[in-house]
Amino acid sequence: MSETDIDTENRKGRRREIVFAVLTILASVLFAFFVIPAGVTSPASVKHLPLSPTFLPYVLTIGVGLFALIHLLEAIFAAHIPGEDDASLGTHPHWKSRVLMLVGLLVLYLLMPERLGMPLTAIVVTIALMAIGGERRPLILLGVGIAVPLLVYLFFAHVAQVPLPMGLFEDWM
Amino acid sequence: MLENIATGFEMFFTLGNLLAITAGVCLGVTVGAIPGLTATMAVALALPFTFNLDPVTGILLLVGVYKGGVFGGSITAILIRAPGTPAAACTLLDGYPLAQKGQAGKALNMALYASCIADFLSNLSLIFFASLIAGLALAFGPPEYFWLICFSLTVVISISGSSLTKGLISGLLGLLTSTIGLDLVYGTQRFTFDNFNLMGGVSYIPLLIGLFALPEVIDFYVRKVAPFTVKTADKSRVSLAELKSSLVTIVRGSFIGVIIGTIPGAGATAAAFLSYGEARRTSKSPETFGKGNIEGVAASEAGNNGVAGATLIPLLALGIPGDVVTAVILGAFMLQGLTPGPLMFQDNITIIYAIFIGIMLSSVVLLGSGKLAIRYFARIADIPRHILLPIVLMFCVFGSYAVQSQMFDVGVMLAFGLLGYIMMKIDMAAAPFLMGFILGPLFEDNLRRSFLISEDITIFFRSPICWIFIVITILSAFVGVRRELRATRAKRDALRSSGAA
Repeated sequence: MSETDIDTENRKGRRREIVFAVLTILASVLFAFFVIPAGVTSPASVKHLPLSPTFLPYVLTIGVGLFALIHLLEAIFAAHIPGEDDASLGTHPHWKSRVLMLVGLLVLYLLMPERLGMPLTAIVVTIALMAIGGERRPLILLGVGIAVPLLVYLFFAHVAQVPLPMGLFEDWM
Repeated sequence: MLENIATGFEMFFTLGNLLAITAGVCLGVTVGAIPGLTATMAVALALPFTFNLDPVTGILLLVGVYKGGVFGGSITAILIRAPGTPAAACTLLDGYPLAQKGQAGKALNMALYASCIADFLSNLSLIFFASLIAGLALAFGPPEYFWLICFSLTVVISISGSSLTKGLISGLLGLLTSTIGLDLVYGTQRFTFDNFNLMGGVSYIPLLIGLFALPEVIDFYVRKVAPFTVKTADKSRVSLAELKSSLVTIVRGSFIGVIIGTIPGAGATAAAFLSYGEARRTSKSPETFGKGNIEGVAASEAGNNGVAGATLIPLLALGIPGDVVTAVILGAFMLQGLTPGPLMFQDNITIIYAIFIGIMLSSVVLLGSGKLAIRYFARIADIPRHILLPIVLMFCVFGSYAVQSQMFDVGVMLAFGLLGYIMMKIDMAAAPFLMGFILGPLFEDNLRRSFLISEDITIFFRSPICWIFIVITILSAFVGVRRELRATRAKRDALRSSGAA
């Protein structure tokens, strides 16, 4: 990596840290002035300040804001230390579509078990994720994609006695 | 006394007892290794099987499950970054990087050895110091607990990763998340926004799974190349020299676990992180921690397993369960018509000795079954990532759902998975978040209970135990911050000099 590249990376890194710190400060201000008053119900009379339900949330929010401020000053005035994330791997050329599909499948995992049933949802999502990951062999896709979710279902439902949602198959079981 | 011990031996050495311990440990290791299924759940599952067993066999089955479950949690933490138990989250800090380097076998074996040694030492403490340590635990009131938790929270400094300020923010966010739910003193709502599912707070299992396991899944689909290539036939093992050099860490971690385990409610997570922090503080190469230092695995597992035997101390000596698992074991004792406590040492001493012998043997059984489990579970690392990660995700979903049998927890897991991924991308350590989240309720509860006892702030300085913890908290925070600042300065100097060159 040339010196110019390092400089550019450092500048980018510094900017990223500044953005992080500013966003954190803004979030803590938002939290202190809006979220805590709206989200925490405090009784009318509290004997001692630390007994109030709002005490710890306020103290912690102030703490977050303060450390974010220190981080901001550090990012502005001190030399940037590059992170340890292995950036050399870079992102996948189709990462946007892959992430979009992943998000779609995660939403499926969240919404469909009560309709389709947990085992069927798991089968669909597992096969789809393996295919997105690059698996093309039908035997592996269907074999692993069907057998493993069924085995895991059997373990959870019949050994661990977890009443998993069965959706469409509720009456069959 | 010798006669009682002899009767205890006679009572213990039956095929049923040996089978109960073996089956218990094996079941515990298997269940503990599944993300979402905890040692507590495993013990609860095994409880009905004890109804028809005799007291010693039944109790030993449960103790075996518990000990196996504590170790089992570390297997998936090391292999797939999905800790089976909250305490195993500390093991993954160095265990997972070792697995990424193709040394999963070494990490798993070190976890096993540290677990067995710590378990053995913890059992010895249980046998020899039960009444003494239980007396000490009784001296802990809310102010003493408060300072103990403060001391435990200073570990956040050691596990902050590359940025101290980000680590501290992460810890504070964890503490803040722990305040969600009904207020413990007034019963009013905090950040629940009338959502019934949040009244009891955020469940820690979905949070744990989401925070650590899900980011790996997301990262796999974002990156150009899989972040860790499959290393087939991982033959890495712990050398004698490595075990020897980690022995001090293991023994120290074990005693940290024993002390923390004795105090009801303090928990294995705090012990694991404290042991890890201490190992890093005393290490000659603290910068290698978090990047695959075998001593880090040893320290966290020693702290984690050191708790296992010690939690039985307040149970057997005083009849006080230290955590949920020991509460279930207390239930098993009562179902058998036995009441743990000082009287049990008078009335049923032979049963106590038989249980002690069984507990000692459980460490040996753990070694054997752990070796077997490692041999088979380590093969998980050989599965190609594009096949393994969808299965990991499935376990995450099933495991999160299993906690309370509700889809809301799956949503919590996904939300914290997203948060974990963002934290990973902005280089913010997730471990302090977990530490804050686990210790948050204890911190606040004891702070407020102290004020309920006395409105005078001097209650926090009422006993020598308070003062001891105040001093070590200040020292730990000071030493930790100074070390982190020095490390940061050294990195900056190195960068400057490389830039100048």
